[in-house]
Amino acid sequence: MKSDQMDGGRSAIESSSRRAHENTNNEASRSQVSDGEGASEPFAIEMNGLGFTYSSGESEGSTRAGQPAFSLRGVNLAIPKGTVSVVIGPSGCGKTTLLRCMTGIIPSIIKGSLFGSVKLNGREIAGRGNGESGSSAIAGPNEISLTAGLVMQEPDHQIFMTTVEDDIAFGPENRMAAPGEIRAEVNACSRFVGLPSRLTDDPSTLSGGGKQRLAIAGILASAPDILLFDEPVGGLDDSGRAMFATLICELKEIGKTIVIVEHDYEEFSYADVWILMKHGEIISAAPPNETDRGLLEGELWR
Amino acid sequence: MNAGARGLRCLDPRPKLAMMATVSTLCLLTENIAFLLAALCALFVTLAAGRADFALLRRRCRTIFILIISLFVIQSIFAAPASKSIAETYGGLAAAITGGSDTPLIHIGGLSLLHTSGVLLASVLALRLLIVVVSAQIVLEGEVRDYMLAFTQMKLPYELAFMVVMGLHFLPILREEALNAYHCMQLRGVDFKKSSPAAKTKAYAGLCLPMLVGTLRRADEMSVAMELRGLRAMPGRTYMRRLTMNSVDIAATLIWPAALVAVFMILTNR
Repeated sequence: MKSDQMDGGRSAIESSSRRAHENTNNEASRSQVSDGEGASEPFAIEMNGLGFTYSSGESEGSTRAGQPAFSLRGVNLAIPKGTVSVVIGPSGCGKTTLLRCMTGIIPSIIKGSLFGSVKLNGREIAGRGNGESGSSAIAGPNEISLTAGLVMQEPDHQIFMTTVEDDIAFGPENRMAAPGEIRAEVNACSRFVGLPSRLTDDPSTLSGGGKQRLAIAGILASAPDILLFDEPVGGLDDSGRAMFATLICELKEIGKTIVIVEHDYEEFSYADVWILMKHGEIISAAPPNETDRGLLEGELWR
Repeated sequence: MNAGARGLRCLDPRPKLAMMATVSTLCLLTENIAFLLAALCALFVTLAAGRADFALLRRRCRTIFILIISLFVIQSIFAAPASKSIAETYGGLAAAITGGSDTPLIHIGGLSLLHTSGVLLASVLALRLLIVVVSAQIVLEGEVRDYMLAFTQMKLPYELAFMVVMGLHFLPILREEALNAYHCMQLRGVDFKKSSPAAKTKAYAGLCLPMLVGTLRRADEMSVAMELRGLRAMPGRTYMRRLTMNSVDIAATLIWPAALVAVFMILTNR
């Protein structure tokens, strides 16, 4: 990706982000940050005593003899705004469930027993049966998408329009942005991820890395403050991974809060925090250079 | 629409939808063979003038031709003799060709197997099927994304427009899932070419379940992904592009259907 393209895209994304928040704040009943409440909130994501058990046979987390299959248990987490956090852990430790809780897929779409609370920019995600969420809570993944965007593990699953530009425009169109503003965001986001010359192409003609970049551009165009990545580098080659690292650093510079779920941790040494998970619990959350290497290289995976 | 598009491809989707709606409706309202032939000719002339992809149409017709032939044979044999005169039901052209009477063409003893009205009824059904296939080609001469915009600008709820577009988007996904399951079965030793018909049927039945499950899973993931990108987060939706009809589009929307309706009125004496 050319750096001048990226720079141009970055400044445009910063301004489009501001415009998006002005627009959404104008929607009194549905604004993502009400009355500037979220602006003073230091944490982008807060989880207090979060626990979850899948109601059906689907289990992503711990299974211990004689105990329910908790996917998450007693998760307390506060991720400051503008930071990069990487959630690391073995398969089935609850990483994906954690992302699902952050995006509202749990409890809106996937049902189960949910305890505790999740707040995005100071606003609680609604959906628990006990009604503790209150009327100011964010309801459902579609409303959450204005605050937090998820880049899925398989980019194919989140690309559904027939051209690159239409796919990037999908988010701003849902946000009811003005046509000129949508066009500006499409141009900015495509420049940012290095796809400005592919705007009218069919997304299925893009390479794996190209699709990944398109998926990121699609999420960026929705202008969320929080970006969540589910195992984003699994299908990328070395150059793709290097591009991804550069992209994440650029996003951090423009103030986005980033949470990445991955198995490979070495290449995320630039992250602010490494969060280690095992059996649905957070066992460590520290900067990379302060993370217990013994735990990271041995105990965590056993 | 693509900047370099020509012919039917540079036409707004709405005239194309109007053409398809008009011809499909009119061909269901009458059994007049002269009108059905005229409508089919009008479609071919439109496709030729609009520089349509005839190779694609030929491929599509080849597949459907077997169906049309089968229907023609079945309808010809099993249709009951007409209760009205041929001129009244199928129009003057049909009456002139057949001599105006419903005569048995093939009969064994006292049992009439094939008669004139049966052949005419089968011809009507075959012509209607051809008209649907050929008029669909007019609509296919365009971008799927333009149709979604056209539907929303025609005040159709955007959720419905999305359903149509997603339905079209799903056809290649369905094919991909079928191919995945097919290749997986081949890798496990199933030889689709050399198997007996019974074994082949069993193997194809085995394809259906993984294909169905895979498609449902993809549909589920896609609906979650759409919500995660803010679909229905706001009371409405805006669009980056807007379709505008120029004078050619307006003329095509009005003149083509009006001309066809006029031909319909004349040939069916209405």
